Amino acid sequence: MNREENLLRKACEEIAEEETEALRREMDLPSVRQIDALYRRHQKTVSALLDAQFKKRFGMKRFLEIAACLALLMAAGAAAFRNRPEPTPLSPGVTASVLPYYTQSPTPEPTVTPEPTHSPTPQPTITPAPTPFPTEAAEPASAAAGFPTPFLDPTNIPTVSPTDAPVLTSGGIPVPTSWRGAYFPDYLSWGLEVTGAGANDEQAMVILGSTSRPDVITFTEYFSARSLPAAGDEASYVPLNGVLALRETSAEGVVTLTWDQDGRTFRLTAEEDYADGIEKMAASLQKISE
Amino acid sequence: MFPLPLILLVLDSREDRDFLEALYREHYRLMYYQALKITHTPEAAQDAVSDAILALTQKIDLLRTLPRNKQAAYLVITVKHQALNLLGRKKREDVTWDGNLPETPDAARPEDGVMARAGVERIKRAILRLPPREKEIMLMRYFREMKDDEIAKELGVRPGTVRVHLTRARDHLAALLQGKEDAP
Repeated sequence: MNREENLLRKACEEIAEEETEALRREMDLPSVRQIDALYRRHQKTVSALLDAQFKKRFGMKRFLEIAACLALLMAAGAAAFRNRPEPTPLSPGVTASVLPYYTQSPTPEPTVTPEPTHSPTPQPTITPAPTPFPTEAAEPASAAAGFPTPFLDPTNIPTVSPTDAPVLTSGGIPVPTSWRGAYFPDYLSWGLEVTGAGANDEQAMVILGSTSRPDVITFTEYFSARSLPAAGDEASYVPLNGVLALRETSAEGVVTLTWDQDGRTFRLTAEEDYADGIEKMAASLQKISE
Repeated sequence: MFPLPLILLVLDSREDRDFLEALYREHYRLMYYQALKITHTPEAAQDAVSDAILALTQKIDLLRTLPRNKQAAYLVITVKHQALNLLGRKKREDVTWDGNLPETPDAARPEDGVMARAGVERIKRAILRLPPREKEIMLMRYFREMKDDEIAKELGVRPGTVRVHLTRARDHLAALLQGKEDAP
């Protein structure tokens, strides 16, 4: 690729990204409502379209690939058969003969090895790790109905592990020392504690809960503004820190607040019985680092 | 030994499908918003998104190599082009976009290397000054990395026509970079 092509590519990339950012910024709440409704109506069509398209690809391209694969394997098998080593000839004067009778050599009795005595081996310590994301078994019904939730976003979710020694913020919620976000909520009214935290290049996530329920609230900071999948069937908008936050409720009552602030996207998700104060918790967001 | 490659091939196909669906779920708001902005009707927006998804299935390998911000942009630009095509098909008289560029006198052949000497920022500004159709065809080639025949198929024109349009767009661009303000 020559320099001119490279420059054109970079310029076009920048144009595309800028157009996308502009689109993201100008998307207003009525549009979001309309789009969400449109998305739900169109969801099944898109799934069917993808199914059909990939079946079609399987039918044509994949068939040829499989046929080529089989042909290669058969050719390899035939080559291996042709190249098999010749049987070693017997020494001169020695003729092969069939044994006149078949004798079975006595097989030794199997010896019984005594079972090893049970000695207490050091078992790995099982830390009551928080459940970072509900597994499929805990999949909300809304997802089963084809409605996306942030829990099921399969891409780039940070690994959440039990937290290290926390550092207390002035407000009282312990911030894990490994927290890589620039913001952290300062208010938590339910007596919960941080049970897990994780981060990757794009987001930092913390899970709050108690010993009996380790994952009742999840707070995620995306390091840049993001368009996130819908998280519930009911949506409304609540004022928050000078912006409007999208408040979504899933069929199970899980409440999710999503809002943009300072060029970042934040998402706070709470189980039904902890949903009451999440606006206050979201509003308590404090900048803790640059 | 035999079933292994077969299983891998099937899994690969399934993986592609799931990858694309995950991308769609992540960026559907931007996609529909872009489509609505151009088509103005929910039905046409749905069609544009469907067409875009079909187009994206052909570019899975490329999409996988893109970072996430570029993936979003790729989806948005693909929807934009599909929406413009849809409008063009439905309303041929609409000169906004019909896949065919109007006949314009060729710009004076710019001197060689003018683009190579310009920086990305200057080229970007110049592309933004091109007529919309030329700008979009540049995005198809250089951002969506479409070949002539792919662009031709999407626009419903012959590959030769695409080559002519691209050459003209590049000439206009080079003329703009040379300071011929009214080049296009």
